[in-house]
Amino acid sequence: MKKFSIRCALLASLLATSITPPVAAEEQTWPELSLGDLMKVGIESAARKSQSLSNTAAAVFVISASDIRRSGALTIPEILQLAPGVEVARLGNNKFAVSIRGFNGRMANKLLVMVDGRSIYSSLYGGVIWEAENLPLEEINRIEVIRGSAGLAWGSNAVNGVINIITRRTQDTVGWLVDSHAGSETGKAGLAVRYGAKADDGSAFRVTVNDQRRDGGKEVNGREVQDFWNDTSLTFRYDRPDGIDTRWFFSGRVFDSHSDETWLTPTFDPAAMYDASQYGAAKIDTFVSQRNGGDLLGRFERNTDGGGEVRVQTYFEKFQGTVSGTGNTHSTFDVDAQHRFPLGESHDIVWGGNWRQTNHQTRMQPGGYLTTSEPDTAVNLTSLFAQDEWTVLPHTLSLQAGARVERQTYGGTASQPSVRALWTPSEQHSFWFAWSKAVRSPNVVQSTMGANAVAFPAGAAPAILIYAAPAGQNGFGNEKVRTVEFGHRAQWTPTFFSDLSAYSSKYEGTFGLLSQSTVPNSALAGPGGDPACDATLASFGLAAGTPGLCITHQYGNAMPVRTRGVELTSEWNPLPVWRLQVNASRMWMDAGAGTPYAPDALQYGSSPKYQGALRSSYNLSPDRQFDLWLRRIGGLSHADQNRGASLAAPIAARTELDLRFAEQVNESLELSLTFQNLLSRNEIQFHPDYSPTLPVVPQRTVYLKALWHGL
Amino acid sequence: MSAQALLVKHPTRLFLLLLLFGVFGSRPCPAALPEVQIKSAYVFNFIKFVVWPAAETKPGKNKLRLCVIGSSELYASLSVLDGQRVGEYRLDVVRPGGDDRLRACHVLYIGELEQKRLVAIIKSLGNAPVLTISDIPGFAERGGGIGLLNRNDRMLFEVNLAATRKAGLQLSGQMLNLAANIFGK
Repeated sequence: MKKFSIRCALLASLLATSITPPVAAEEQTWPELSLGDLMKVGIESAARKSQSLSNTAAAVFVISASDIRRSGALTIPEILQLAPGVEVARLGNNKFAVSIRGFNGRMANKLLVMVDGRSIYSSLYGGVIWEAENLPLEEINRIEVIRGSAGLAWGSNAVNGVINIITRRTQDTVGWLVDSHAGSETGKAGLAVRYGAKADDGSAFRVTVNDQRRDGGKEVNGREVQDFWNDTSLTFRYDRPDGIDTRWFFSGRVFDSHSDETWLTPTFDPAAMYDASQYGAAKIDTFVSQRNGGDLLGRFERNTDGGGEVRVQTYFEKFQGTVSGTGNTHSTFDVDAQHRFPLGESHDIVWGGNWRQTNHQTRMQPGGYLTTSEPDTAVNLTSLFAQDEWTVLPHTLSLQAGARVERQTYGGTASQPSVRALWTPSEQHSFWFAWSKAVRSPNVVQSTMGANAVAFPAGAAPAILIYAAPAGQNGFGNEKVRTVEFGHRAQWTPTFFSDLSAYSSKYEGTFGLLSQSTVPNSALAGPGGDPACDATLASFGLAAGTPGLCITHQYGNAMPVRTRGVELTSEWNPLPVWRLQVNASRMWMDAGAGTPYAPDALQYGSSPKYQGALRSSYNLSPDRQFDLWLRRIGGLSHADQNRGASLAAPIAARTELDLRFAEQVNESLELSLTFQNLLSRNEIQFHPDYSPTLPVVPQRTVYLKALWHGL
Repeated sequence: MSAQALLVKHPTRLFLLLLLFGVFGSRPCPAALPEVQIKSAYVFNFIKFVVWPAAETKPGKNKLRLCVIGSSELYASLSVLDGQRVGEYRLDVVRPGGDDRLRACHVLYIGELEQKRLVAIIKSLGNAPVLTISDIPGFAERGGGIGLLNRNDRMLFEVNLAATRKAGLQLSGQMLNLAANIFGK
């Protein structure tokens, strides 16, 4: 024992006097350690993925709580950049586009995101309203990022991937925690206060109050944009183990989020136009998007006598959002049950079902950018699934097959089967293969809402109003995808790990333009003009007697799309105190080849062809950390590769650099200084899509953070 | 020249430093060890604090079977203890071949590879006097005996007393005082 303490002290002294790491002890002394010592000994980081991860026949990446803290990121989308192949672009200080394997957008609808099993994928827009998802970051235990189709396990919309955000058990969050920061831009100010306590029977609870404030960004021309984001929430969680076999879990939150947004809404009135040379026929409309709501979740888990597990979970959620006079209120009720049990020596069966209903009430501002054909609508979802995992050779070969059958109000009935195989020839290597089918269900906006856009060319050309009709009128149904993937994971040495995956996906019937019809107004065609068109143009400020055209776009299941790609993540620990991570991905997309359909610029040019990241986590001493995060994201071409046409202005590739220094001042206080976006140039990262948002340039951010915990 | 090289070249300085920090070093020991060694050390310590039912182990005579499944790395590490004495027992570190042999273990370490079969393994043990230990997340909550958990790069443990009681094991109060969580009290 004595011997060990002396060595510990020596290690400490070496680390304190030099950043040269200590040599590993030659002799094994672990049997001499007492329980008390063990609780104090640090765990040496190793470039080793957990065994359970290496035993998954899918492209999975896990972001740990320590990764989150060391990344310096303040929002979930920024944290997701830690995972390979996740596309994250900022449309401003409060708006994000997040996707996996293509189709990025502010409402990227082929990625399912869940918090503790509660879907935060919006059935209104499709995609995630990230402004409303401001979970206190210290609550997160880990984030599992699954790339590829996972409809069998998670249901519809898990087309290109699933992100599972898993919060910490309350048993691990006992005592007080204060997480505060102050700085510039998106790091302006934040305060989260948490209190947790546990009882003698092993049950525990926590309550957290969280308030975050972010400043507005700038336009490309340097003008300040009203782009702030203030957000307050109260979250709680209660865990209760009940005897040996049963566990209960309850959680909930209430939140209130205000994010400023500036829209460029259509107008023909030259006097009202904002900056016609840059933004065309649009007037500025600044407003506060207000979103508030709450949710309650309960889960019951029990071990059955046959060696299986039963899990029943239910949640209720209420959400209210107002954006530019358009209001949506919805409430969701969801029940999910699943049962897992071993069958014989080598089969593991999982089966279950899910039922969800969301009632939407949408109120439009008359004469605005959006119209709705169904102000009140209910979206129902029912599904059943079963899968078998067959261990053909223990720890060497396993096969998995199953299917989910699902019925959704707009999409109808669809099946989502999947077959996977995992081969682990040695402890150092594993290979996997997967074939799967998944669907993306239509959402309320695409099915029932229309949108207006205008163009007001100079000279004698007619003014144009484009109306995108609700796709529901054209029988818009599920988008389908078939994906083939394979992967290889290898532990080359105890300090070097790599994970490679490749995929090929074929999409059918992705949302797109089917046809268009054009009618002239009376000023252009005289008596042949359409009076309805006259009225519509006038409502957008077109002066009487000005020639104009009304174009109606019909949307529906259009485009076949094909994507292929490779993704790599690797980790190397050159020294016990130094961890290096490299991620890289490359994607090829081919939209609409051989069909009459023209791809939608914002949908198909919106993902980078390549991206890569290097992350270095260095412990300068046991109490000091230095983190560097360098990212390179390929440009967005916005070009139709089959026709050679440019559909929107291309966006340049960008390089981003974040730095973080942290010091553990004493056992309960950590101070850190983070610099984000250090290489930022005066360029936007993404064209606004869906909403006509004014493009905003993300700025450099610096903030100081104090993390204190006590009993 | 780095501090390390200095120390190697000048053993006197090393000795002085050793003395200095050995005697005056007041900060908590910050040394780090590989995860597998910390887990092994925990397993070894737990054995010292647990009393098996009298019929199971006759001190000085019977061997104490320490079984490891689902982690060859931990098995390799714990093999160092094979044949060693712990108090009154002599350790026998084994990798049991089939689930039917698990009931004959005194200590059963369940590694991550067996994560999916966890509940089935626990159920197959019934009331057998087996101390189950695992680093699988939520192990103790899900009916296991002692769970190891990584909290902020330190390894802690939690105990499910209902499970150890069912197995007829007695855990010392000294050990329970150090547990991060106790379920089923």
